[in-house]
Amino acid sequence: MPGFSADANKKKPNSLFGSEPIADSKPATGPEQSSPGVPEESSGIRIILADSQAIYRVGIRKIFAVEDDMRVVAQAENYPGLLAALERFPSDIVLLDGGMISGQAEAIPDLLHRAPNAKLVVQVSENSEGFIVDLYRRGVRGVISRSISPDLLIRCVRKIADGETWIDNQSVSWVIDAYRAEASTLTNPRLQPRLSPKELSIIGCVTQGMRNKEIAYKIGTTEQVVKNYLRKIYDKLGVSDRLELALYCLHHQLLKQPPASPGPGKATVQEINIGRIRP
Amino acid sequence: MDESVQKNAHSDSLIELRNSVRFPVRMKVKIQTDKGKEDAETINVSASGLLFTFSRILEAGSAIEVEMIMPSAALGTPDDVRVHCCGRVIRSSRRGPARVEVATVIDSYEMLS
Repeated sequence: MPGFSADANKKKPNSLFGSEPIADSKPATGPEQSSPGVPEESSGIRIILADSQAIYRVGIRKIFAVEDDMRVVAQAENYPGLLAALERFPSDIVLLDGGMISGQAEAIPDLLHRAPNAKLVVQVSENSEGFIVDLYRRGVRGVISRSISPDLLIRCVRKIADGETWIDNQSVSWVIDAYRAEASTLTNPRLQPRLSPKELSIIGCVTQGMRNKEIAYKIGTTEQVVKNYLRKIYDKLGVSDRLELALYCLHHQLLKQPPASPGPGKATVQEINIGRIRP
Repeated sequence: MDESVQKNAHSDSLIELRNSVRFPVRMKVKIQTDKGKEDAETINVSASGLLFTFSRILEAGSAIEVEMIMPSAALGTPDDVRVHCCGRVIRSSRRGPARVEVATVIDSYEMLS
C-alpha cells in the first residue's frame, strides 16, 4: 500500500536467528515465544513510525530493534499513509515527524480521534514556542527534538507508553505561560477583543435572555445569521455559552455605556463589588 | 456529570480539568434548598458552577436552585437579568462561626428576560 509499510510483511526467513530483529504486527507464535512462563501475546510497546525521510525511519527502527519491549509495527512516509497504518495496526505509540503535520491544525485531533489509544510523540527540528504549545494543547504526549539521543528516545517512549507526558523544562514554561495568558485574556478587563456594533447589539440581546429567533426578529435578520454572529462572538471572547457570555459582560462591563452620574437608587460598580476578591 | 474533576486512569489521582473560566463576581443570589429560600453571596461564578458564602453547611450531593440577579447597572442592560440555575452541592467548608463556603455545579440554567 502506498505511503506506509507494515513491518510484519518484512519477515526474513532467518530473521528469528539473525541479528536483524523481528518487527511484527502480530503476536509471535513460534516455539521460542510459546515456551512456559512466556505469554503468547506480546506485551511490548507497539510503535508506528511516521516520517517523510526514509533515513530517519531506518535509523529509529534500528534503535527500537534492540529493545525487547518495543516493536515497530508499521512505518508511514506521509500523512495518508499514517492514517492507513493507524486503521490497520493497533499501536501504543506513534512517533511522528512534525513536518508531516505542519500547517494542518486539525491533524493531531484527527489522529487521536482515529486511534484514541495511541499516544502521539512529535519530533520537531526546531523549538518553535507556538507550534510546541499548540501540539501539547491538542493532545500530543511528548515533543522531542529530531536530534534526540537514542537513549533518551527509548526513555521517552517508555515513559509515554506508561501514561506519562514527556515535556522539557523550556516547554513547561511555554505551556504555563500560554495557560496564564489564556486565563488573563478572559479575566483581564484591559485585554478585550474588538467587537463590532452589531456584535455588541447581539450580546446585549443575549444577556437579556432573548432567544436567537427573537434576536433575529429584533435586528432584522435570520436565525442562522444570529447563530453565525454568536459563534464568532464566542470565539472572540473565549466563552462557550450564553451564561458564560453574560458573566463575561458582567465582569468586563462590556455593555456598559460611558459613565454618567449614577441616578438615585442605582447600584454602582463599587457597591456590588464586581471582580473584587475581598481580603 | 461534572467535568471539572476527572479520575486519571493511570494514577487514580484526582486531577482538575475545569472547562469554564471562573469569574470573581460578587453578587447576591437566592438559594433554594429543601429547607426553603435563603440569601447568599457569590465568591466566583462560572458557566458550570459557583462558589458562594452561606449561613450553614449544605450536604454534598443535595440538589439546589440558584437565582442570580445580574444588575443592569453593571451589566449595561436596560433591566436586571435573572438567571435561574439548577445544580448540586459539591462541598461545604466552614470558614468561620457563621460563614460557610459552598461549591456547587450548575446542571442547567435559564436566562429570564
